[in-house]
Amino acid sequence: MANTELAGTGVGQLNGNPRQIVKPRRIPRRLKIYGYNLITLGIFFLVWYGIQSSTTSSYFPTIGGVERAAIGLVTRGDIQGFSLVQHAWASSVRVFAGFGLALVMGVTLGLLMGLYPFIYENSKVIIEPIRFIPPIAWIPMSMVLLRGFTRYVFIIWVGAFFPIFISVLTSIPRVETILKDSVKVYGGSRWDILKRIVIPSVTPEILAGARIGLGDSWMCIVAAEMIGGEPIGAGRLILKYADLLNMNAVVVGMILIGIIGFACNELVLQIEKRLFRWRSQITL
Amino acid sequence: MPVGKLKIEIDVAHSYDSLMVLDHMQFDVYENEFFCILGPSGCGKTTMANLIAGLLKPSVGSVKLDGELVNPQKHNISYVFQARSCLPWRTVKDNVRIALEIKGISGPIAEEKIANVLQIVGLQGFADYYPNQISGGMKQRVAIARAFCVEGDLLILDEPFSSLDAQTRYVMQMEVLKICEKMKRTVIFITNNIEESVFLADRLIVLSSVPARIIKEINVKFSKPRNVTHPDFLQLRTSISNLSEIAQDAAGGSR
Repeated sequence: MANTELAGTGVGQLNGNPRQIVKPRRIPRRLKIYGYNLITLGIFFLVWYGIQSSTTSSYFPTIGGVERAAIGLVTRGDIQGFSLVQHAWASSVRVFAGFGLALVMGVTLGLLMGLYPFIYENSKVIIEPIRFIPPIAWIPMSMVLLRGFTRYVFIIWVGAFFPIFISVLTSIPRVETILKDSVKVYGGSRWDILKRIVIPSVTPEILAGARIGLGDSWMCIVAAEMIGGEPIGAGRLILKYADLLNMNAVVVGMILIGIIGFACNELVLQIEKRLFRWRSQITL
Repeated sequence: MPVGKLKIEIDVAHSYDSLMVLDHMQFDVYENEFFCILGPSGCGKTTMANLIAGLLKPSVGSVKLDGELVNPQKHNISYVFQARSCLPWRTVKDNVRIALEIKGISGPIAEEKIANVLQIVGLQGFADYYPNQISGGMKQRVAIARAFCVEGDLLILDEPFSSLDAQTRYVMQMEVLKICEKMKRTVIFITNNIEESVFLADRLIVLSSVPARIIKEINVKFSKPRNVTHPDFLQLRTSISNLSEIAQDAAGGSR
């Protein structure tokens, strides 16, 4: 009797009352992400410990050794007396100078050549090969022709300029024609189209290119500081201790660069998220 | 029977490279009339719309608005595109505003126009939403609102409802009629749906498939809003449908 009534209703029944659907208590997503990241970190340390225990090389950086080196560097500074903060600051200034210049030039030239493709088409034979020369290959030239701060800035610029330039260049033809037509049909001039459609359209891609460029800049810092004349800089720190075969301190230097790069990247990502709310629903 | 004075004179033929899209098309549109261009998909209707709007220059011939060559920078033309034309980085309100910005209208007058037109299309509650937060039908309503907030010489709608579901389509057809009733405009409405054209048009032309020619020009005399189940309506619809079939057969040989 009850069965025939219930058959086909599709509703869960318990003693004749519709079953209450109990939602499982949800852990906030952010907390979940932090939690999983901590687990990943833990696994990393486990693996590191595993390798350091099994390796025979006396130069292998150990967890304890790196910790001691880090404390030493923070409290006493390096062998020449420079503190970690000074190193970090010096590198940051160089990166931001090189990156800043690359950003301005990359966006300007990218916009110019994107809007007037014939310039790019006709100068491809110069631009493209240069694009593929890695920053490190520029080191001999920069050693001979440049001095001091400009040497650093130049190498970093080479690393950052091309990702940004290409990002901007390729994003311009992708602006949807229908949006340009929307402005055109209401009587918009070329300037109107540029200001109201092209620029807002490509800004997300400029920022994405900038984020990549910034990352590349940080990756060039070691190469740049290898050849630079000054004794401060995160890259220089690594090389100083590499000369002394002190791998623990080298790892501290590497971590320093990694952390600063990561922080920069996250900063730009957060800016992107806030600026481009219109792109997708914010879920965090 | 022409309604008022001559507004638009069209006498064009158009080809893309070697592909002739519009075979000699000559027709006129009169002020404040609701004019439909009906044709199968791919027959060059959008090309026609772009030529009329001045976005494209005809290979041969000209489009004249009020006696002068059509020029979007000079004339006030509004266009509702077939595809979504909402700027994704602007809110609904700002999307409507862009037409006014280009025309140089700002301040409280502009705000009033925007509020008014959003009210008419029923989006007043969504003024601060972004396009990715609203449905397809609503996006098209934004485009329509944008088209109506500018005092226009001409309003062109290029298959604006073809990407919407059937129910939304009926609602939107009624809305367009309602708006045009309120705000007198010369309207050119392009569609491939026979019922839609008979429902909306004062006068319509039927096009063949590419290269497009005018097969027939029809005056629709029924009073609006029209009853789609009325025998006269259905008879007209059937006769147009037969026309199109004949045209398809005729064109079929040349494809």
